[in-house]
Amino acid sequence: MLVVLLMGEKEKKSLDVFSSLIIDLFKIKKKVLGKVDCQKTVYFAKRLGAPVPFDFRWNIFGPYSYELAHNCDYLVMEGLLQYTGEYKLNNRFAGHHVSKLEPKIKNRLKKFFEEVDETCEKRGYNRILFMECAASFDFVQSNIEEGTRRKEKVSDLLDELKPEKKEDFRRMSDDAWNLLVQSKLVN
Amino acid sequence: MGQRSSKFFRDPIHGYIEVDQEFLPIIDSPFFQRLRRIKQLAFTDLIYHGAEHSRFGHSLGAFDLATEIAERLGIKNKTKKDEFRLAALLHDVGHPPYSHAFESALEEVYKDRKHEQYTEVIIRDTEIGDLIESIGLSKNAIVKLIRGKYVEQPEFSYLNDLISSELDVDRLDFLLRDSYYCGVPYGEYDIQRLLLAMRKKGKMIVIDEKARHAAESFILARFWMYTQVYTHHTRRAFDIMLKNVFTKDTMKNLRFPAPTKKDISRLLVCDDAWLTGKINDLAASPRRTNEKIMASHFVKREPVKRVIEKIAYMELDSQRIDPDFTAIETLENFKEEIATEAKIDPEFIFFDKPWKDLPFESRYRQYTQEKEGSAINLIFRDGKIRDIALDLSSLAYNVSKWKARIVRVYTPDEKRNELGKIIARKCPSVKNLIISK
Repeated sequence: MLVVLLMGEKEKKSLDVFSSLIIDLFKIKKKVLGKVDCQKTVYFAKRLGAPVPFDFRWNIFGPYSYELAHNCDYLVMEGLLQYTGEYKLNNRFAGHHVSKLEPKIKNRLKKFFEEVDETCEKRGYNRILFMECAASFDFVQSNIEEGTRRKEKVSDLLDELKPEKKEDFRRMSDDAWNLLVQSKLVN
Repeated sequence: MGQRSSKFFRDPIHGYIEVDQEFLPIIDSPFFQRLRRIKQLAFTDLIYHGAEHSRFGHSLGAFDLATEIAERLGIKNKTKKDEFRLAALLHDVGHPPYSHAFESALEEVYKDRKHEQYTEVIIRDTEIGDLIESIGLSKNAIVKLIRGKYVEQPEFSYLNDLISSELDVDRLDFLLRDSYYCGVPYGEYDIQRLLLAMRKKGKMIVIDEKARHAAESFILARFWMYTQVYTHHTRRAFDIMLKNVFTKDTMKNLRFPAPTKKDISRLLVCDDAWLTGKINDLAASPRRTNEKIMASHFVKREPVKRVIEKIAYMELDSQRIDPDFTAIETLENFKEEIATEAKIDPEFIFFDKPWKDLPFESRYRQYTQEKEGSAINLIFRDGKIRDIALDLSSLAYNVSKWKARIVRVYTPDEKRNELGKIIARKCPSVKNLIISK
């Protein structure tokens, strides 16, 4: 039986562009703490130059892509990802993966996510909330008129867009903005 | 004769659609008129012959619904109201010929050639943009609404969702329209009840709980239309064939315009008839390439046929991996060996996962405790708001926990039985999934 024989072999599953990118990202970020964190991780990957094929729209938790959510569900169904509140890569598929990401972008992403970790550690921020805050700041600043892209203006808009997160976002706003500036996401 | 104040378009779904005089030049513009020549459902008319309706009708339908919703929600700001209505009218203006079918082929060859990008360039850089500005509206605001990025005026951020979300003017129109033209009743739902029950609460669109049944029938209509029409196996066969007619080599010769200011005027001639002509040319070409063979099958309406099909509904939380899917996917890695034995060109064995690469979601959003994602929210008597998919007493609660998964293997008809026999011999565990003549 071909399949039984094959199943015992090393997996040589052919990966599409998106699956390959997800493996790269999850290896760089190390921990993806659920669906919100996953959305924001891929959002920043796109902003930092990774070839993400999805568009992000404004949503209650900031930038969101239905296609990404839909595709992640399929990666879980296909066994590439495991989801138990947190996402984990299945090493049976990901172990032999050869990255197709440009080294320059890979380094940029690595630096960005390390910076997020350091900030959260230093300030005691909830990582998911900080990712949501930084992604929301970035989405709003990049979608308003160029001349108005100031931290105060973005903060004011976010107060109105997400009043339930006002206090948290105000507390994190300096660090979120600095992260964007350091990563050259703000002009 | 006094100046006309508006014009009426007779529409089979919404009756008379009234369009303001100031919007008529936009509708009459060549880019918008091009939509008359782009079928809404690509090759679906090769299965459901009535499905010859165009993106033009759908765009007018979405506009009509936007007008009605704006009235119901009492949007007083005329500028925002009109920008929202025009966003609905223009949301599909950049669709390539044969809509999503050709868009998938384009994406295989080029990066960044989605219809949204063409839409953006048409609105920003053609006469449509000028027409929008001439009536005092902002083309940037319309582009942002279409792309879900309108955050500059937070009090109107909910308009993003009405253009694209679980409950938007696009879906509200296309389910009814596609259902009507395909002649299948599955896409019908009680739109008047749903619109009557629509409210704005803060920055959220909600449905009065009393109309829960109408919201549920909308969700089920989507589910049935996706299973019965949008992922119909023969429609997918033609989509696959189109991708294999327009490969990297043949796509280059098409010189399909890029979504840029410089190139966009060339899109005007790119309609369904133009692409059909290109398929005919390829079918008649003297070089015997795989693209030519596929084009010839296309012209004769000889779809590739299913050899294997597996459809299952899976609970996302269960983490269970169905061994049939694993078996079929493993076969994909050994396509060449199987093809050699069956004496088929491996390029003529097609593995298709229609639910994976749909350009739109397959059904109502999946159950998630993190609540991320747009939702259909019910508002209860006590003022509490709850996502219908998280409401235990809702039909949607159960429906949304499951996700459909489909894998199909196709090949040209004349090789179907042979390929089936070899797969059955090599991989007996999938024998019961094999479809023969």
